[in-house]
Amino acid sequence: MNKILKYIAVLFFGFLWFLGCSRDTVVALVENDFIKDDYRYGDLYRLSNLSKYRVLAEKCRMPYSGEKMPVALYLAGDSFTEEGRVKPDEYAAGTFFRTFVAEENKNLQLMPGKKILVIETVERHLRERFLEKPWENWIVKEPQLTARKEPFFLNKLYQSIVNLEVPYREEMHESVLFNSDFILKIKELKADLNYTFFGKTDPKVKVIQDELVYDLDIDPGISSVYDKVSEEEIGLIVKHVNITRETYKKMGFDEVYLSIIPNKTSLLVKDDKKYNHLIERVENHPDLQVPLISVWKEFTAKNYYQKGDSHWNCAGQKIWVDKVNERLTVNNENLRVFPHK
Amino acid sequence: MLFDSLQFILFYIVVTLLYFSIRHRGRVWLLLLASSYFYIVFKPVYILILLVTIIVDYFAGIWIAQSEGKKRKWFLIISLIANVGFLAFFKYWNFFNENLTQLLEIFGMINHLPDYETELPIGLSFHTFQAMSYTIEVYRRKQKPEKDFIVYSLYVMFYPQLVAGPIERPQNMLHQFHTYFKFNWETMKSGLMLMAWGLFKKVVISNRLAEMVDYCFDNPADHPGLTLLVASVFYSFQIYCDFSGYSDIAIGAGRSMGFTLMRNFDVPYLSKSIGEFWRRWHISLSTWFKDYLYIPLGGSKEGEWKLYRNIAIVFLVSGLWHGAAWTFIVWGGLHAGFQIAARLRDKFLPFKIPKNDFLSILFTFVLVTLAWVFFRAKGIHNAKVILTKIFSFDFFSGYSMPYTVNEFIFCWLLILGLFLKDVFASEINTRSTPAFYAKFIGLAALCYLFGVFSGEQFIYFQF
Repeated sequence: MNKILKYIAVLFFGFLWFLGCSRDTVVALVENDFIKDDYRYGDLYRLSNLSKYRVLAEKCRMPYSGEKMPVALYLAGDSFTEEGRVKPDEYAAGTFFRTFVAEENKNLQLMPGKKILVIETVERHLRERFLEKPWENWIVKEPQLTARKEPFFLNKLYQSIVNLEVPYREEMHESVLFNSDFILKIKELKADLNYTFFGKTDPKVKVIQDELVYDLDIDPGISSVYDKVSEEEIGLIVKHVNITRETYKKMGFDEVYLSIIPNKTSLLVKDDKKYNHLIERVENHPDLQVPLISVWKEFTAKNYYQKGDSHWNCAGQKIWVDKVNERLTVNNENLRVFPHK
Repeated sequence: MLFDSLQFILFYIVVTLLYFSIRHRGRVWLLLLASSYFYIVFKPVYILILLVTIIVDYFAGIWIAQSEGKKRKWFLIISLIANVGFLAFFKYWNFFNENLTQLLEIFGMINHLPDYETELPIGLSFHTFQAMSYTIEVYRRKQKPEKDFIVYSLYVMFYPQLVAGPIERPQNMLHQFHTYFKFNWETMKSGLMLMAWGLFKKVVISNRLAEMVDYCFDNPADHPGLTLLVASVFYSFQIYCDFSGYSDIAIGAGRSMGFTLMRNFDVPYLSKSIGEFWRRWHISLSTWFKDYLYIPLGGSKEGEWKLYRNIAIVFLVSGLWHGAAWTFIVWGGLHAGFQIAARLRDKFLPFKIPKNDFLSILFTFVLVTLAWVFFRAKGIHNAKVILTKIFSFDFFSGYSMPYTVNEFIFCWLLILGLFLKDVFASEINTRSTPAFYAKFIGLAALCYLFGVFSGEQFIYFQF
């Protein structure tokens, strides 16, 4: 009996250990509801575990109800527009393609017909993406003229040995073991205790004006809303945004839009003298030639952010998606009659 | 794999359960495979270094035992060259090369030797020293060569002490790998309790104090003297809790499977002299240097001046063992200087200083803390900035810290608690009483609730 128990325990813990090495298995378990999604209360709650911010994150399903336009929407977006949040069927475009804005895509294939590029970035990463150089993460695939020289076998072997890694991610175990509502209660006890006594939260988050925000937004550095941005810097960002537009128009895109999503933090500190007003200064810059999909005005009028999350709620998301769809439909009505431009 | 990670907890449970589920020969294989996995989690390719040194030392041990005279010596030398060679290349090459460049520049010459961008294999100094102690002991005929390659490999790679010691001796470890340990609830409890205490020292005390230490030592010029003084004192406790915490977890993990690893710390901050401090701090390294360097150099038996020379050599080498930087050499030099100064004081001072235990402990702690400044500082210049600011005694020009007042007080309470535990309960009673279980659960709960799980490596991993 003891032996059987021992082997069951070994198998159980062995399987747990295996889960730490296999992201695919954990994702499959989440998708099949064996494990709960650890983002269900929002990304900021997931990090902080402060009980006050435990509110089920909104899941929005707002498929586009009108007739789809015969245009291709290419979206280089960040977490605000990831497909878990905004589904492809919510856009009015007949064809939709998206990758993460910070990732390179060297094999971009352009569809025939009208092509619209939307570059969506959250405010905190705008400077990282446009200050140094124009955004040029997408490269249209060209046929290869010469065969690439394959590296020597031994060299390849050496490189693969040197770069070998054990496929382990602790967050997989976190998701599997410590993600139930009961365990979250214990995590909240720790988080609340540390916040009450020591004013301490997870280092990646902060509480300002009773709202949970990313530490990145206020910690000194390029992402901070308090980091001073000179006029020269703003001019450089605008210049690079303009070059980006030109580059992608030459590549074959018919329209290029920029959309800067405000940080949750910026809206909380917008009246603070130290706030750098990055979005307003870029969006209102006289040299900016790129058409904008801006939600700044709407977002400053009302709170469109979730309690335990750094992203917008369904209403906020709808505002943005509607604005994108407006661009897709308003100027392209004639395409319905003549689908091939 | 870090001892304070979830990955380790699961690893430990699986390995320990399997260990007690299989027969003896299987256990040796299991521990070797588990240790290999434990090591490759850091950087797989470096296990090849371990493999090469294991093969060289395994055969060197057998050949040393089988041969006589000069041949015997040559086999030892080959083994030592292999071990020290890896250490020299990975740890010291760039340091010596950099210094050689500067030296040659003085004479208007150019150094053409290249630098190598290599990552230091984790725990290299530890397992190298452990491997060296094997061949030296075989050479001294104090240890029979280990014929079983798997057992010898396990001696070098036994996961609890593979990357940060204790640096074991073959006489203590090899026979244990040939022993079949039956499951014993008492040793299991004792091991688990020691692990919990080690974890507490690491995640609750050390990691919390580290915030203040990093805050100050990263930019010492930005902080006033009082802040730097507090940070220096905190560092003394941070490194103690970090390293002794690691050792406790290592010893506890071994103990729970029946193994006895050597004690590595014995309340060092209660030492009344620097000499005593070194008998209580990182005991496995101190005794290694004593057995394999200090005594072969002549120890204290060849006159006073040779004794001073030997102390200086041992501590300078010890400093260099910790890291390839001048700060570590100064740190070692200071410890040597303190001990030589104490001996000179005893020899030449015409009167006896009245002894007071409390003041001796305090004075020793101050000296140790002073030396730790060099150990932690990013370069000699930063260490000088810190000490200059502290010794300017300008303690009223302001104070800053990365904590709230509550947390700052909590830090001091932790230090006080540590001190009281060390004084009054250096060994935790592990009899199966309700108090024991309450202590264990309480300790685990405190680790969770007040632990700072920053994912920071243990300080001694870098050595």
